[in-house]
Amino acid sequence: MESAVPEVRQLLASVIGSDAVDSLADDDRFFDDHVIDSLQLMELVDAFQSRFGIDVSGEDLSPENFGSIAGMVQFLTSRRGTSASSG
Amino acid sequence: MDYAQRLDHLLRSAAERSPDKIAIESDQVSLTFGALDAAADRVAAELAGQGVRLGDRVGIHLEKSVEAVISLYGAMRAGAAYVPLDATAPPARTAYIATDCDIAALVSTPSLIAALRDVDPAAAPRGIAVGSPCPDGFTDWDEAHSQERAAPTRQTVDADLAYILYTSGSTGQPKGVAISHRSSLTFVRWAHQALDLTESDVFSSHAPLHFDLSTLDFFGSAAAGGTVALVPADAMMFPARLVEWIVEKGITVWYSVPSALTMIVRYADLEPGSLNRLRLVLFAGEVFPIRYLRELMPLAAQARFFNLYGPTETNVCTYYEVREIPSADDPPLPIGRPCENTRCEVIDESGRPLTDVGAEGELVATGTIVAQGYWGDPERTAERFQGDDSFRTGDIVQVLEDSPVPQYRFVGRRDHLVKSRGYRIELGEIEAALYSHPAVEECVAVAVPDEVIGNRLAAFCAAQQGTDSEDLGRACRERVPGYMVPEQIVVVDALPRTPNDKYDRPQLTERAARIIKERRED
Repeated sequence: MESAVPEVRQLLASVIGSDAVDSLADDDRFFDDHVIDSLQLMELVDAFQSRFGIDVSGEDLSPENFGSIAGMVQFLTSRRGTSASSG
Repeated sequence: MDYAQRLDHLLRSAAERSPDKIAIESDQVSLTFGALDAAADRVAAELAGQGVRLGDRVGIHLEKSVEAVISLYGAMRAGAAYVPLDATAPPARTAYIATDCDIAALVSTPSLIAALRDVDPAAAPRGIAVGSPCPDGFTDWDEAHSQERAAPTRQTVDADLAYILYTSGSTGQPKGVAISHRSSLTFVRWAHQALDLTESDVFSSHAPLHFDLSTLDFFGSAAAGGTVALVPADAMMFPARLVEWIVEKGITVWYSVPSALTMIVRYADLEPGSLNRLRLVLFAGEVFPIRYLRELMPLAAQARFFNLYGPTETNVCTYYEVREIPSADDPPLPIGRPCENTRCEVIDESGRPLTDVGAEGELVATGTIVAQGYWGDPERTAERFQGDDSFRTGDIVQVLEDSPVPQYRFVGRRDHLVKSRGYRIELGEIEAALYSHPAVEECVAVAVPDEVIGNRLAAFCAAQQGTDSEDLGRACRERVPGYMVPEQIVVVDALPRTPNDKYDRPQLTERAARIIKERRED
């Protein structure tokens, strides 16, 4: 199965712009580097829910799941019921 | 009793009354009033030793932190006005601000200092550096704090400047609103009494230092002898974490822009009463969407809810208490009545007062609450500041009641100033940032009303062939803070004009609204 990294990057780009996403590593924490503010995060969650058809509860909305590209990929992959594979 | 002439006296009095009480806490550190007071003295002594004199300006260029708060008190105690500089803003804009107000010293980190010096060495001449290696001309923070030091003696008056807050300027550069101790204390005293702030209150500090909401958090808590707790970075982002933090810290006074609270309502899955420790919920900066307020109020059923209103130039000049949960079809919340120590009136275009219920005109605030003016800009000051102590807000309001106490509702602006995420933004400053790109021939920035964040920003640019909107976005990001960068920048062949040959802003705003809506539904 394909990694979800490109999908997540594309989604993030729709909120903060693709040049901002290009300069992010998968592990960079969003709130350390001010790449995203709290309202953009809410937009990201709304977009995530509508694009992937996955409900995000208050508990799901955590630094682990939405604090970095890698975290989002892992969350998306686990919700789709498959494990992430590289590449 | 007149308990203070200066904001830094509030801290000194609290330290004398209750030296061992916690004044401020972050997720790493907490300081008692005694320790905060002594630390502010050491910063003042260090700044004075570096040549900072009465009437100078000192930049505070740090993330919001206990160090930043010590520094702002230290700057005032050295007789200077503090100038908060956004640590996340582009260095070019920050350097402009630092040189515009001719800062005498700066408290900052080595990497931020280096970035400013790259733009303009005069933006970071000397000061105190938090972290290592300590840059040339700066004193290391720990060294400045290695021994007890007394603050310098200054012949101060309450008309001295306390701080300068820079806001977006229509000519393309930010402008500094110069606030005296007297003006800020007028607000602090009002809040202390009207909101009945006490020493058992725990205040949240959510707004950044360069945003005027932060003055209630710091100086209101000092006046009351209460504790202020800095919202940690992860709680700023994640609603469930924020709620946990509010409960854990026992926050009793919350003050923020409405969007921080709508975030909680929309994403934190809370039971009624989850926020029952909150005693006061204060919001300002934008209109609170009724439907989210209806959901918020039951979560904090013990709290009183206040909508505070006032541009930076007037601190807070009117307030409205939301006494009951509003109905879903209620009109937007009023901005309410003038603060007890401030006069307000509504005038028409020729300056005549309007008092009829239903009349709409510009709100003018009068009293010691009003700022001194715009730093170094007598012309713009004269346009808006009148007499000794009146300010024309540029906000159009409707008179809801006239006597015995007037009540108002905000209806719009006279000019191109818009609010987004609680920040005031001059569309002209965004346009100036876009014009800095050599390929841009013409551009117009527009604001599309949004229920949650106030306004969403977009821009249309007529630019040379082959110009990419990503490039224009980058040009913007180098000049203005993130909240001012348009989320959509559209490159067009030509901008539409009205029959009078002005840009057709309404048409462009409609077009932007469609684009934003499509993208969000994508």
